[in-house]
Amino acid sequence: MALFDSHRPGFNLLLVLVVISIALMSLDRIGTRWVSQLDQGLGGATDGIVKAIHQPVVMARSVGQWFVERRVLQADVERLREENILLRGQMQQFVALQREVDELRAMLDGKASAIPSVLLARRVGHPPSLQGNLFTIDRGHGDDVRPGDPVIDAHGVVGQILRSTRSGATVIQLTSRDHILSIVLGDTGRTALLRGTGNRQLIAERVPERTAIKPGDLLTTSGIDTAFPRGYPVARVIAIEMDEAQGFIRLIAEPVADLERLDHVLVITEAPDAPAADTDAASDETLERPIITPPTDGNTVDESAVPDATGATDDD
Amino acid sequence: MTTSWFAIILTSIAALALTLLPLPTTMQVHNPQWLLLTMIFWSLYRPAQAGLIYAWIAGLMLDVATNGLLGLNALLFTMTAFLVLSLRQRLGVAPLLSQALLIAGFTLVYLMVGLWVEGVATDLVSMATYLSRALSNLAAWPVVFFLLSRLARISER
Repeated sequence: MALFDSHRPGFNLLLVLVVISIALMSLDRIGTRWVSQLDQGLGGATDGIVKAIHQPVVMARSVGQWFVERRVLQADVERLREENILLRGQMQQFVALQREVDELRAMLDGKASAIPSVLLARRVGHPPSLQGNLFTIDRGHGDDVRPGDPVIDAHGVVGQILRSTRSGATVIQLTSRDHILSIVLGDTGRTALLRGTGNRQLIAERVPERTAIKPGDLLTTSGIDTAFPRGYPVARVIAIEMDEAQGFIRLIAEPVADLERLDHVLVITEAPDAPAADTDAASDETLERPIITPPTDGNTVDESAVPDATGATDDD
Repeated sequence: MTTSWFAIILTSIAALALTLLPLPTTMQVHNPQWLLLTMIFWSLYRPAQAGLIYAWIAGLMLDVATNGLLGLNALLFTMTAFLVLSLRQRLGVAPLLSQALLIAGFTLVYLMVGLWVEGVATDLVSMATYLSRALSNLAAWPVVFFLLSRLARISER
């Protein structure tokens, strides 16, 4: 009987596997290319499982759609048509404004902004995590979705692509404790880092005390981190905590994106200013310095925030 | 007594699917580790087929599926499988209740080690340098052995 065979495992095999595991962990932490390829390859299979599990929900929803009244559907179509006309009308104005801004920017530093290309994706699953801050979408490698691509919804920033496989991609929400992004504080032009806490709140720490910011102000992406393009709404300040001794304040904010009811999201597959930022930085410096500011010793990262800051103080 | 590989792989995939089942966050914490339990079962009752390598692969799949640190669960699964396989002859004939208690004990060890590795994980970049030290120890051991055994033999006289 098998019970009496001692299948005592060899120590050698255990040690080899342990060493391989530790090596894998450290290489994953460093971010080696072939480890992420392994992750993507196997992730295609597991994402398939996640999608298959989520299938009953999708089917139930599509069955439910059969029973919606015709009247309700027509009202919906009517409402959407009106909204579409409204948005198109506003868009005309935006296009004109965009052209104007581009001309002004071109005069200022020879760099025009471009509208990023976005991709509509549907949420298909919800892999388990302790904080519940991950979800999977149905667009992947094939649609040019790459790890690090920003994800937004109709209201604001949702998060970033964590991993993209052949069949889909995993998104990490900005409320996750592992997520951090660079923001502009309201109209002040100052930048800060906004960090997730694991629940609904976001925190920006070490904001200088004299920053003119109040609850209700909007925080937008700064574009400095080169992950998110500039100007997308991120969160709204709900509370400000004073830290008198330090001379800094701490902002508590809530994301403007509707994270509880995410069905469709937009992936920004080609952020226009993100990849170009490195190459343009050098030319910007030489062009901007003589015009706007007397020689400062600020590093290149702060450079883009400087013009805004001076503009804001003029307004005050 | 051999079970077909098909059954082992199929049950593992089913267990993985159960693990990935979306639950409310409060329930998620209490969801049993189905894949771990399946792995323990197969290494208890079919040790000739489901050994350490099977456990390692199962752990790696769990890592990939949960977007965790790649290799963490692989390490923990391998170590649990090693524990189970070494205690197999005692565990296999134990009554169901004491089996369950022992498995709860294994899980405690599993969770503790997992917590520790997660804590260390922020410094895993420097862990790579530690690892290289292990490799250089491996290379240096024959030299040390040779020198010291010579010395021991000389000082015997």
